[in-house]
Amino acid sequence: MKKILIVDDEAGFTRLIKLTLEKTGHYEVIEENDGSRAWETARACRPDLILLDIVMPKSDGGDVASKIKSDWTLKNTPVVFLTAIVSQRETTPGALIGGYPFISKPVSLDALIKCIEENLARKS
Amino acid sequence: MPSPDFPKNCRVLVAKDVAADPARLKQMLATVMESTTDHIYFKDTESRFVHINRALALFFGLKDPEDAVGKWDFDFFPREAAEQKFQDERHLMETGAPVIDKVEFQETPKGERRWVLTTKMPLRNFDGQIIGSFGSSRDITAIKQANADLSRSREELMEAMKELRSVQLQLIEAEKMKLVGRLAAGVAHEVKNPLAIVAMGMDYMRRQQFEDPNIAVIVQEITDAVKRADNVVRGLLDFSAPQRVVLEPSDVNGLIRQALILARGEFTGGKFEVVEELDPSLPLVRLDPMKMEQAFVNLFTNAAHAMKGGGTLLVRTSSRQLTGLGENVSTSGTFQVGDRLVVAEVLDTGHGLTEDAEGKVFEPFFTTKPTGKGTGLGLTVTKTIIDLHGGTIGIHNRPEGGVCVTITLKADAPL
Repeated sequence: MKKILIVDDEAGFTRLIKLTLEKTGHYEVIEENDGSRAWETARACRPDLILLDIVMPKSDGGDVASKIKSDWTLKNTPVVFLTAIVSQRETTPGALIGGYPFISKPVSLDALIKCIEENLARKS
Repeated sequence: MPSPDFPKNCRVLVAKDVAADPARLKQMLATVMESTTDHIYFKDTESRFVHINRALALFFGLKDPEDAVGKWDFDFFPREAAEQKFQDERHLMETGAPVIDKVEFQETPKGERRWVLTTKMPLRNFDGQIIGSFGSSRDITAIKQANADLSRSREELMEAMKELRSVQLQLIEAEKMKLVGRLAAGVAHEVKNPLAIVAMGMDYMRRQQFEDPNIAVIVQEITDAVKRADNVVRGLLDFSAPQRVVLEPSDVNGLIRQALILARGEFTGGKFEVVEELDPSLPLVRLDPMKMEQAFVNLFTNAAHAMKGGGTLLVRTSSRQLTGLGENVSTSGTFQVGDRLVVAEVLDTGHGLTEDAEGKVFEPFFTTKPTGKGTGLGLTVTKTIIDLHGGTIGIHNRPEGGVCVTITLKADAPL
Protein backbone atom coordinates (compact mmCIF):
# COMPACT_ATOMS: atom_id res chain seq x y z
CA MET A 1 0.00 0.00 0.00
CA LYS A 2 1.41 3.37 -1.02
CA LYS A 3 1.42 6.25 1.38
CA ILE A 4 0.19 9.56 -0.02
CA LEU A 5 0.50 12.87 1.81
CA ILE A 6 -1.96 15.51 0.66
CA VAL A 7 -1.25 19.09 1.68
CA ASP A 8 -4.13 21.46 1.02
CA ASP A 9 -5.82 24.10 3.16
CA GLU A 10 -9.23 22.92 1.84
CA ALA A 11 -10.05 20.37 4.52
CA GLY A 12 -13.15 19.20 2.64
CA PHE A 13 -11.05 18.39 -0.40
CA THR A 14 -8.36 16.47 1.49
CA ARG A 15 -11.04 14.52 3.35
CA LEU A 16 -12.70 13.43 0.12
CA ILE A 17 -9.36 12.55 -1.48
CA LYS A 18 -8.60 10.41 1.56
CA LEU A 19 -12.01 8.73 1.41
CA THR A 20 -11.94 8.00 -2.31
CA LEU A 21 -8.30 6.94 -2.58
CA GLU A 22 -8.44 4.73 0.50
CA LYS A 23 -11.65 3.18 -0.79
CA THR A 24 -9.63 1.71 -3.68
CA GLY A 25 -7.62 -0.28 -1.13
CA HIS A 26 -4.28 0.72 -2.70
CA TYR A 27 -3.44 3.86 -0.81
CA GLU A 28 -3.06 5.23 2.68
CA VAL A 29 -3.67 8.97 2.74
CA ILE A 30 -2.37 11.43 5.32
CA GLU A 31 -3.96 14.88 5.34
CA GLU A 32 -2.21 18.12 6.20
CA ASN A 33 -4.21 21.37 5.99
CA ASP A 34 -1.47 23.73 7.18
CA GLY A 35 1.20 24.50 4.59
CA SER A 36 3.65 25.69 7.23
CA ARG A 37 3.58 22.24 8.85
CA ALA A 38 3.81 20.24 5.61
CA TRP A 39 7.55 19.64 5.73
CA GLU A 40 7.44 18.37 9.35
CA THR A 41 4.49 16.11 8.54
CA ALA A 42 6.33 14.75 5.50
CA ARG A 43 9.45 14.06 7.57
CA ALA A 44 7.34 12.30 10.18
CA CYS A 45 5.26 10.10 7.86
CA ARG A 46 7.80 9.56 4.99
CA PRO A 47 5.21 9.37 2.17
CA ASP A 48 5.74 7.70 -1.21
CA LEU A 49 4.25 10.75 -2.94
CA ILE A 50 3.13 14.23 -1.94
CA LEU A 51 0.12 16.02 -3.43
CA LEU A 52 0.75 19.69 -2.77
CA ASP A 53 -1.63 22.60 -3.17
CA ILE A 54 0.04 25.75 -4.50
CA VAL A 55 -2.06 28.60 -3.11
CA MET A 56 -2.17 28.25 0.67
CA PRO A 57 -1.98 30.75 3.52
CA LYS A 58 1.18 30.95 5.66
CA SER A 59 3.37 28.84 3.36
CA ASP A 60 2.62 28.26 -0.32
CA GLY A 61 3.26 25.11 -2.34
CA GLY A 62 6.39 26.50 -3.97
CA ASP A 63 8.06 27.11 -0.58
CA VAL A 64 7.07 23.68 0.70
CA ALA A 65 8.36 21.96 -2.47
CA SER A 66 11.74 23.75 -2.17
CA LYS A 67 12.06 22.70 1.45
CA ILE A 68 11.26 19.10 0.61
CA LYS A 69 13.71 19.12 -2.30
CA SER A 70 16.51 20.37 -0.07
CA ASP A 71 15.86 17.73 2.59
CA TRP A 72 18.01 14.68 1.82
CA THR A 73 15.49 12.33 3.48
CA LEU A 74 12.68 13.59 1.22
CA LYS A 75 14.39 14.84 -1.94
CA ASN A 76 13.49 11.69 -3.94
CA THR A 77 9.84 11.82 -2.92
CA PRO A 78 7.73 12.75 -5.96
CA VAL A 79 5.79 15.99 -5.54
CA VAL A 80 2.68 16.68 -7.62
CA PHE A 81 1.18 20.14 -7.44
CA LEU A 82 -2.56 20.65 -7.14
CA THR A 83 -3.78 23.92 -8.56
CA ALA A 84 -7.04 25.64 -9.37
CA ILE A 85 -5.39 28.52 -11.22
CA VAL A 86 -4.48 27.00 -14.54
CA SER A 87 -5.98 27.82 -17.93
CA GLN A 88 -7.09 25.45 -20.67
CA ARG A 89 -4.02 26.31 -22.72
CA GLU A 90 -1.66 25.37 -19.91
CA THR A 91 -3.10 21.90 -19.28
CA THR A 92 -1.24 20.22 -22.11
CA PRO A 93 0.23 16.74 -21.63
CA GLY A 94 3.61 16.84 -19.93
CA ALA A 95 3.23 20.45 -18.81
CA LEU A 96 5.07 21.37 -15.59
CA ILE A 97 4.84 24.13 -13.02
CA GLY A 98 8.24 25.10 -11.65
CA GLY A 99 9.59 21.78 -12.91
CA TYR A 100 6.93 19.75 -11.09
CA PRO A 101 4.01 17.82 -12.63
CA PHE A 102 0.61 19.17 -11.68
CA ILE A 103 -3.06 18.32 -11.52
CA SER A 104 -5.70 20.91 -12.26
CA LYS A 105 -8.61 21.06 -9.84
CA PRO A 106 -11.29 19.77 -10.11
CA VAL A 107 -9.92 16.37 -10.98
CA SER A 108 -11.62 13.04 -11.51
CA LEU A 109 -10.58 10.09 -9.40
CA ASP A 110 -9.39 8.20 -12.50
CA ALA A 111 -7.17 11.09 -13.60
CA LEU A 112 -5.82 11.48 -10.07
CA ILE A 113 -4.92 7.78 -9.75
CA LYS A 114 -3.32 7.82 -13.22
CA CYS A 115 -1.17 10.79 -12.24
CA ILE A 116 -0.20 9.25 -8.89
CA GLU A 117 0.79 5.95 -10.50
CA GLU A 118 2.81 7.64 -13.26
CA ASN A 119 4.81 9.61 -10.72
CA LEU A 120 5.29 6.67 -8.38
CA ALA A 121 6.60 4.67 -11.36
CA ARG A 122 9.00 7.49 -12.19
CA LYS A 123 10.37 7.35 -8.64
CA SER A 124 11.01 3.62 -8.78
CA MET B 1 10.20 120.52 -42.78
CA PRO B 2 12.36 118.25 -40.65
CA SER B 3 10.51 116.49 -37.91
CA PRO B 4 11.93 116.98 -34.43
CA ASP B 5 11.73 113.20 -33.94
CA PHE B 6 14.14 112.40 -36.84
CA PRO B 7 17.88 112.93 -37.12
CA LYS B 8 18.80 116.25 -38.63
CA ASN B 9 20.23 114.76 -41.84
CA CYS B 10 16.92 112.93 -42.64
CA ARG B 11 14.46 114.94 -44.70
CA VAL B 12 10.78 114.09 -44.49
CA LEU B 13 8.36 115.51 -47.06
CA VAL B 14 4.68 115.89 -46.31
CA ALA B 15 2.13 115.01 -49.03
CA LYS B 16 1.44 118.55 -50.17
CA ASP B 17 5.18 119.10 -50.69
CA VAL B 18 5.35 116.06 -52.96
CA ALA B 19 2.21 117.00 -54.88
CA ALA B 20 3.77 120.36 -55.50
CA ASP B 21 6.89 118.76 -56.85
CA PRO B 22 6.00 116.18 -59.60
CA ALA B 23 9.65 115.56 -60.40
CA ARG B 24 10.24 114.63 -56.79
CA LEU B 25 7.22 112.28 -56.79
CA LYS B 26 8.42 110.60 -60.00
CA GLN B 27 11.84 110.09 -58.46
CA MET B 28 10.32 108.55 -55.36
CA LEU B 29 8.13 106.16 -57.37
CA ALA B 30 11.14 105.23 -59.49
CA THR B 31 13.09 104.49 -56.32
CA VAL B 32 10.31 102.20 -55.06
CA MET B 33 10.08 100.48 -58.47
CA GLU B 34 13.79 99.84 -58.69
CA SER B 35 14.53 98.90 -55.10
CA THR B 36 11.67 96.46 -54.47
CA THR B 37 12.17 92.74 -55.00
CA ASP B 38 8.55 92.43 -56.23
CA HIS B 39 8.09 92.20 -59.99
CA ILE B 40 6.32 95.29 -61.36
CA TYR B 41 5.24 95.85 -64.93
CA PHE B 42 3.08 98.02 -67.17
CA LYS B 43 1.51 96.65 -70.34
CA ASP B 44 -0.40 98.08 -73.28
CA THR B 45 -3.83 96.89 -74.35
CA GLU B 46 -2.21 94.08 -76.39
CA SER B 47 -0.45 92.78 -73.26
CA ARG B 48 2.95 93.93 -74.50
CA PHE B 49 5.35 95.24 -71.88
CA VAL B 50 5.79 98.98 -71.88
CA HIS B 51 7.83 99.04 -68.69
CA ILE B 52 9.16 96.55 -66.15
CA ASN B 53 11.23 97.08 -63.04
CA ARG B 54 14.74 95.80 -62.45
CA ALA B 55 13.61 92.85 -60.33
CA LEU B 56 11.41 91.53 -63.16
CA ALA B 57 14.17 92.14 -65.69
CA LEU B 58 16.50 90.03 -63.55
CA PHE B 59 13.83 87.37 -63.31
CA PHE B 60 13.56 87.35 -67.13
CA GLY B 61 17.34 87.18 -67.42
CA LEU B 62 17.57 90.62 -69.05
CA LYS B 63 20.40 93.03 -68.39
CA ASP B 64 18.29 96.09 -69.07
CA PRO B 65 14.56 96.49 -68.28
CA GLU B 66 14.25 98.35 -71.61
CA ASP B 67 14.91 95.05 -73.41
CA ALA B 68 11.44 93.84 -72.35
CA VAL B 69 9.59 96.67 -74.04
CA GLY B 70 7.35 95.44 -76.85
CA LYS B 71 7.61 91.81 -75.75
CA TRP B 72 4.90 89.49 -74.45
CA ASP B 73 4.80 86.96 -71.65
CA PHE B 74 5.03 84.39 -74.46
CA ASP B 75 8.65 85.52 -74.91
CA PHE B 76 9.54 84.57 -71.35
CA PHE B 77 7.16 81.91 -70.00
CA PRO B 78 6.15 78.45 -71.21
CA ARG B 79 3.22 78.68 -73.60
CA GLU B 80 0.58 77.36 -71.20
CA ALA B 81 1.52 79.80 -68.40
CA ALA B 82 1.77 82.75 -70.80
CA GLU B 83 -1.63 81.89 -72.27
CA GLN B 84 -3.22 81.93 -68.80
CA LYS B 85 -1.72 85.39 -68.07
CA PHE B 86 -2.84 86.64 -71.47
CA GLN B 87 -6.41 85.45 -70.88
CA ASP B 88 -6.47 87.08 -67.41
CA GLU B 89 -5.41 90.38 -68.97
CA ARG B 90 -7.95 90.04 -71.83
CA HIS B 91 -10.67 89.70 -69.21
CA LEU B 92 -9.29 92.64 -67.27
CA MET B 93 -9.22 94.81 -70.41
CA GLU B 94 -12.83 93.91 -71.26
CA THR B 95 -14.36 94.18 -67.81
CA GLY B 96 -12.00 96.38 -65.85
CA ALA B 97 -12.14 93.80 -63.07
CA PRO B 98 -8.79 93.54 -61.32
CA VAL B 99 -7.06 90.27 -60.42
CA ILE B 100 -6.07 90.46 -56.79
CA ASP B 101 -3.71 88.14 -54.89
CA LYS B 102 -3.89 85.28 -57.37
CA VAL B 103 -1.55 82.44 -56.41
CA GLU B 104 0.21 81.13 -59.51
CA PHE B 105 2.73 78.42 -60.10
CA GLN B 106 5.22 79.35 -62.75
CA GLU B 107 8.46 78.24 -64.27
CA THR B 108 11.18 80.86 -64.62
CA PRO B 109 13.08 81.31 -67.87
CA LYS B 110 15.93 79.47 -66.09
CA GLY B 111 13.66 76.49 -65.49
CA GLU B 112 13.08 77.10 -61.75
CA ARG B 113 9.60 76.37 -60.47
CA ARG B 114 8.24 79.12 -58.23
CA TRP B 115 5.00 80.13 -56.53
CA VAL B 116 4.00 83.80 -57.02
CA LEU B 117 1.25 86.03 -55.66
CA THR B 118 -0.03 88.23 -58.48
CA THR B 119 -2.16 91.38 -58.61
CA LYS B 120 -3.19 92.97 -61.95
CA MET B 121 -5.00 96.29 -62.32
CA PRO B 122 -6.40 98.16 -65.31
CA LEU B 123 -4.37 101.22 -66.34
CA ARG B 124 -6.69 104.11 -67.18
CA ASN B 125 -6.15 107.53 -68.76
CA PHE B 126 -7.59 110.75 -67.39
CA ASP B 127 -10.90 109.97 -69.15
CA GLY B 128 -11.19 106.63 -67.37
CA GLN B 129 -10.52 104.61 -70.49
CA ILE B 130 -8.48 101.45 -70.09
CA ILE B 131 -5.20 101.95 -71.93
CA GLY B 132 -3.38 98.94 -70.57
CA SER B 133 -2.66 97.15 -67.36
CA PHE B 134 -0.14 97.11 -64.60
CA GLY B 135 0.60 94.70 -61.89
CA SER B 136 2.99 93.20 -59.45
CA SER B 137 3.89 89.73 -58.39
CA ARG B 138 5.73 88.51 -55.34
CA ASP B 139 7.69 85.30 -55.06
CA ILE B 140 6.06 83.36 -52.21
CA THR B 141 7.86 80.06 -52.80
CA ALA B 142 9.62 80.31 -49.43
CA ILE B 143 6.30 80.98 -47.66
CA LYS B 144 4.65 78.07 -49.52
CA GLN B 145 7.60 75.87 -48.63
CA ALA B 146 7.36 76.95 -44.99
CA ASN B 147 3.62 76.23 -45.07
CA ALA B 148 4.24 72.82 -46.60
CA ASP B 149 6.90 72.10 -43.94
CA LEU B 150 4.51 73.27 -41.26
CA SER B 151 1.75 71.12 -42.69
CA ARG B 152 4.08 68.12 -42.83
CA SER B 153 5.20 68.78 -39.25
CA ARG B 154 1.57 69.00 -38.22
CA GLU B 155 0.82 65.68 -39.91
CA GLU B 156 3.84 64.12 -38.21
CA LEU B 157 2.67 65.54 -34.90
CA MET B 158 -0.83 64.18 -35.47
CA GLU B 159 0.66 60.79 -36.37
CA ALA B 160 2.82 60.87 -33.24
CA MET B 161 -0.21 61.80 -31.15
CA LYS B 162 -2.18 58.97 -32.73
CA GLU B 163 0.61 56.53 -31.91
CA LEU B 164 0.87 57.93 -28.40
CA ARG B 165 -2.87 57.51 -27.97
CA SER B 166 -2.63 53.98 -29.29
CA VAL B 167 0.20 53.15 -26.88
CA GLN B 168 -1.77 54.76 -24.07
CA LEU B 169 -4.80 52.62 -24.93
CA GLN B 170 -2.59 49.55 -25.08
CA LEU B 171 -1.19 50.38 -21.64
CA ILE B 172 -4.69 50.89 -20.28
CA GLU B 173 -5.74 47.63 -21.91
CA ALA B 174 -2.69 45.84 -20.45
CA GLU B 175 -3.47 47.24 -17.01
CA LYS B 176 -7.09 46.20 -17.37
CA MET B 177 -6.01 42.71 -18.43
CA LYS B 178 -3.69 42.53 -15.43
CA LEU B 179 -6.64 43.35 -13.18
CA VAL B 180 -8.86 40.87 -15.03
CA GLY B 181 -6.07 38.32 -14.63
CA ARG B 182 -5.94 38.86 -10.88
CA LEU B 183 -9.71 38.70 -10.70
CA ALA B 184 -9.75 35.52 -12.79
CA ALA B 185 -7.10 33.91 -10.59
CA GLY B 186 -9.10 34.83 -7.51
CA VAL B 187 -12.32 33.50 -9.01
CA ALA B 188 -10.54 30.33 -10.14
CA HIS B 189 -9.17 29.68 -6.68
CA GLU B 190 -12.41 30.39 -4.87
CA VAL B 191 -14.66 28.56 -7.35
CA LYS B 192 -12.55 25.63 -8.46
CA ASN B 193 -11.67 24.47 -4.96
CA PRO B 194 -15.33 23.91 -4.01
CA LEU B 195 -15.85 22.38 -7.46
CA ALA B 196 -12.98 19.98 -6.74
CA ILE B 197 -14.72 18.87 -3.56
CA VAL B 198 -18.03 18.36 -5.37
CA ALA B 199 -16.31 16.48 -8.22
CA MET B 200 -14.43 14.19 -5.87
CA GLY B 201 -17.60 13.59 -3.86
CA MET B 202 -19.48 12.64 -7.05
CA ASP B 203 -16.66 10.27 -8.01
CA TYR B 204 -16.98 8.62 -4.62
CA MET B 205 -20.74 8.29 -4.94
CA ARG B 206 -20.54 6.95 -8.50
CA ARG B 207 -18.67 3.96 -7.12
CA GLN B 208 -21.42 3.17 -4.62
CA GLN B 209 -24.52 1.05 -5.13
CA PHE B 210 -27.88 2.77 -4.53
CA GLU B 211 -31.32 1.26 -4.52
CA ASP B 212 -32.83 4.36 -6.06
CA PRO B 213 -31.80 4.42 -9.78
CA ASN B 214 -32.31 8.19 -9.86
CA ILE B 215 -29.21 8.67 -7.70
CA ALA B 216 -26.94 7.69 -10.62
CA VAL B 217 -28.73 10.18 -12.88
CA ILE B 218 -28.41 12.92 -10.26
CA VAL B 219 -24.72 12.17 -9.75
CA GLN B 220 -24.13 12.40 -13.51
CA GLU B 221 -26.04 15.69 -13.75
CA ILE B 222 -23.98 17.18 -10.91
CA THR B 223 -20.75 15.93 -12.52
CA ASP B 224 -21.70 17.54 -15.84
CA ALA B 225 -22.59 20.79 -14.08
CA VAL B 226 -19.18 20.80 -12.36
CA LYS B 227 -17.50 20.33 -15.76
CA ARG B 228 -19.46 23.24 -17.20
CA ALA B 229 -18.54 25.53 -14.35
CA ASP B 230 -14.91 24.39 -14.61
CA ASN B 231 -14.90 25.20 -18.35
CA VAL B 232 -16.18 28.71 -17.68
CA VAL B 233 -13.42 29.39 -15.16
CA ARG B 234 -10.76 27.87 -17.43
CA GLY B 235 -12.01 30.02 -20.29
CA LEU B 236 -11.78 33.07 -18.05
CA LEU B 237 -8.19 32.16 -17.19
CA ASP B 238 -7.43 31.68 -20.90
CA PHE B 239 -8.91 35.07 -21.68
CA SER B 240 -6.85 36.80 -19.01
CA ALA B 241 -3.66 34.77 -19.41
CA PRO B 242 -0.49 36.77 -20.10
CA GLN B 243 -0.45 37.51 -23.82
CA ARG B 244 2.71 36.00 -25.18
CA VAL B 245 3.26 34.24 -28.48
CA VAL B 246 6.16 32.05 -29.50
CA LEU B 247 6.39 32.52 -33.25
CA GLU B 248 7.77 29.98 -35.67
CA PRO B 249 7.26 29.46 -39.41
CA SER B 250 4.17 27.24 -39.56
CA ASP B 251 1.95 25.49 -42.05
CA VAL B 252 -1.58 26.84 -41.58
CA ASN B 253 -3.08 23.88 -43.48
CA GLY B 254 -1.41 21.46 -41.05
CA LEU B 255 -2.73 23.40 -38.05
CA ILE B 256 -6.25 23.36 -39.50
CA ARG B 257 -6.12 19.59 -40.01
CA GLN B 258 -4.88 19.11 -36.42
CA ALA B 259 -7.60 21.42 -35.08
CA LEU B 260 -10.23 19.48 -37.04
CA ILE B 261 -9.07 16.29 -35.34
CA LEU B 262 -9.24 17.94 -31.91
CA ALA B 263 -12.74 19.34 -32.57
CA ARG B 264 -14.22 16.22 -34.19
CA GLY B 265 -15.96 15.26 -30.92
CA GLU B 266 -18.18 18.32 -31.39
CA PHE B 267 -19.56 17.06 -34.72
CA THR B 268 -21.92 14.48 -33.26
CA GLY B 269 -25.68 14.07 -33.02
CA GLY B 270 -26.41 14.67 -36.70
CA LYS B 271 -25.17 14.29 -40.23
CA PHE B 272 -22.09 16.45 -40.64
CA GLU B 273 -19.85 16.90 -43.61
CA VAL B 274 -16.44 18.50 -43.34
CA VAL B 275 -15.01 19.82 -46.61
CA GLU B 276 -11.38 20.92 -46.83
CA GLU B 277 -10.33 23.22 -49.68
CA LEU B 278 -6.79 23.87 -48.55
CA ASP B 279 -4.40 25.56 -50.96
CA PRO B 280 -1.37 23.22 -51.20
CA SER B 281 0.91 26.09 -52.20
CA LEU B 282 0.13 28.13 -49.08
CA PRO B 283 3.22 30.00 -47.84
CA LEU B 284 4.40 29.54 -44.25
CA VAL B 285 3.23 32.02 -41.60
CA ARG B 286 5.17 32.96 -38.49
CA LEU B 287 2.80 32.07 -35.68
CA ASP B 288 2.39 30.32 -32.34
CA PRO B 289 1.13 26.87 -33.43
CA MET B 290 -0.53 26.02 -30.10
CA LYS B 291 -2.40 29.27 -29.84
CA MET B 292 -3.44 29.32 -33.50
CA GLU B 293 -4.62 25.71 -33.19
CA GLN B 294 -6.77 26.78 -30.27
CA ALA B 295 -8.21 29.62 -32.36
CA PHE B 296 -9.27 27.16 -35.08
CA VAL B 297 -10.64 24.64 -32.55
CA ASN B 298 -12.82 27.43 -31.13
CA LEU B 299 -14.11 28.31 -34.61
CA PHE B 300 -14.85 24.68 -35.51
CA THR B 301 -16.59 24.14 -32.14
CA ASN B 302 -18.75 27.21 -32.74
CA ALA B 303 -19.60 25.99 -36.24
CA ALA B 304 -20.61 22.57 -34.89
CA HIS B 305 -22.82 24.14 -32.22
CA ALA B 306 -24.44 26.43 -34.83
CA MET B 307 -25.34 23.46 -37.04
CA LYS B 308 -27.58 21.61 -34.62
CA GLY B 309 -28.68 18.36 -36.24
CA GLY B 310 -26.07 18.45 -38.97
CA GLY B 311 -24.63 20.56 -41.75
CA THR B 312 -21.54 21.25 -43.80
CA LEU B 313 -18.34 22.79 -42.50
CA LEU B 314 -16.16 24.20 -45.26
CA VAL B 315 -12.61 25.17 -44.42
CA ARG B 316 -10.79 27.04 -47.16
CA THR B 317 -7.31 28.55 -47.39
CA SER B 318 -5.74 30.74 -50.03
CA SER B 319 -2.98 33.29 -50.44
CA ARG B 320 -2.68 36.51 -52.37
CA GLN B 321 -0.68 39.67 -52.54
CA LEU B 322 -2.25 42.88 -51.31
CA THR B 323 -2.13 45.17 -54.33
CA GLY B 324 -4.26 48.05 -53.07
CA LEU B 325 -6.55 49.31 -50.37
CA GLY B 326 -10.23 48.41 -50.26
CA GLU B 327 -9.57 44.79 -51.09
CA ASN B 328 -12.08 43.42 -48.67
CA VAL B 329 -9.47 43.29 -45.97
CA SER B 330 -8.96 45.63 -43.08
CA THR B 331 -5.76 47.46 -43.90
CA SER B 332 -6.01 50.10 -41.22
CA GLY B 333 -2.51 49.80 -39.87
CA THR B 334 -2.54 46.02 -40.16
CA PHE B 335 -1.25 45.23 -43.63
CA GLN B 336 0.60 47.17 -46.27
CA VAL B 337 0.30 47.13 -50.02
CA GLY B 338 2.70 44.46 -51.25
CA ASP B 339 2.22 42.13 -48.26
CA ARG B 340 1.55 38.51 -49.10
CA LEU B 341 -1.50 37.40 -47.15
CA VAL B 342 -2.73 33.99 -46.08
CA VAL B 343 -6.51 33.81 -45.78
CA ALA B 344 -8.35 31.07 -43.92
CA GLU B 345 -12.13 30.88 -44.12
CA VAL B 346 -14.42 28.80 -41.95
CA LEU B 347 -17.92 28.52 -43.40
CA ASP B 348 -20.85 26.75 -41.82
CA THR B 349 -24.47 26.14 -42.77
CA GLY B 350 -25.84 26.91 -39.33
CA HIS B 351 -28.40 29.42 -38.09
CA GLY B 352 -26.20 32.46 -38.76
CA LEU B 353 -26.06 35.58 -36.63
CA THR B 354 -28.75 38.10 -35.83
CA GLU B 355 -28.00 41.71 -36.77
CA ASP B 356 -27.47 42.49 -33.09
CA ALA B 357 -25.10 39.56 -32.60
CA GLU B 358 -22.89 40.43 -35.59
CA GLY B 359 -21.44 43.45 -33.83
CA LYS B 360 -20.97 41.74 -30.49
CA VAL B 361 -19.60 38.27 -31.19
CA PHE B 362 -16.06 39.19 -30.16
CA GLU B 363 -17.14 40.76 -26.86
CA PRO B 364 -16.35 38.76 -23.72
CA PHE B 365 -19.22 36.68 -22.35
CA PHE B 366 -21.41 37.28 -25.39
CA THR B 367 -22.97 34.01 -26.53
CA THR B 368 -25.85 32.93 -28.74
CA LYS B 369 -25.73 29.42 -27.34
CA PRO B 370 -28.18 28.08 -24.75
CA THR B 371 -27.13 28.18 -21.10
CA GLY B 372 -24.44 25.64 -20.41
CA LYS B 373 -23.39 25.32 -24.05
CA GLY B 374 -20.96 28.19 -24.28
CA THR B 375 -18.88 30.41 -22.05
CA GLY B 376 -19.06 33.43 -24.37
CA LEU B 377 -15.28 33.58 -24.40
CA GLY B 378 -14.40 31.37 -27.40
CA LEU B 379 -14.48 34.08 -30.07
CA THR B 380 -12.98 36.65 -27.69
CA VAL B 381 -10.01 34.37 -27.07
CA THR B 382 -9.80 33.63 -30.82
CA LYS B 383 -9.74 37.32 -31.69
CA THR B 384 -7.11 37.96 -29.02
CA ILE B 385 -4.95 35.23 -30.55
CA ILE B 386 -5.36 36.64 -34.08
CA ASP B 387 -4.60 40.15 -32.79
CA LEU B 388 -1.45 38.85 -31.13
CA HIS B 389 -0.33 37.58 -34.53
CA GLY B 390 -0.95 40.95 -36.18
CA GLY B 391 -3.79 39.47 -38.22
CA THR B 392 -7.44 40.30 -38.71
CA ILE B 393 -10.61 38.33 -38.13
CA GLY B 394 -14.05 39.08 -39.51
CA ILE B 395 -17.39 37.36 -39.35
CA HIS B 396 -20.44 37.80 -41.54
CA ASN B 397 -23.60 35.97 -42.48
CA ARG B 398 -23.55 34.04 -45.75
CA PRO B 399 -26.39 34.82 -48.19
CA GLU B 400 -27.17 31.11 -48.41
CA GLY B 401 -27.30 30.76 -44.60
CA GLY B 402 -24.70 30.19 -41.93
CA VAL B 403 -21.66 32.34 -41.28
CA CYS B 404 -18.25 32.84 -42.78
CA VAL B 405 -15.33 33.62 -40.50
CA THR B 406 -12.30 35.03 -42.29
CA ILE B 407 -8.85 35.10 -40.75
CA THR B 408 -6.15 37.03 -42.57
CA LEU B 409 -2.49 36.70 -41.64
CA LYS B 410 0.69 38.05 -43.15
CA ALA B 411 2.83 35.37 -44.80
CA ASP B 412 6.34 34.73 -43.51
CA ALA B 413 8.08 35.93 -46.68
CA PRO B 414 7.00 38.17 -49.53
CA LEU B 415 6.48 36.83 -53.05
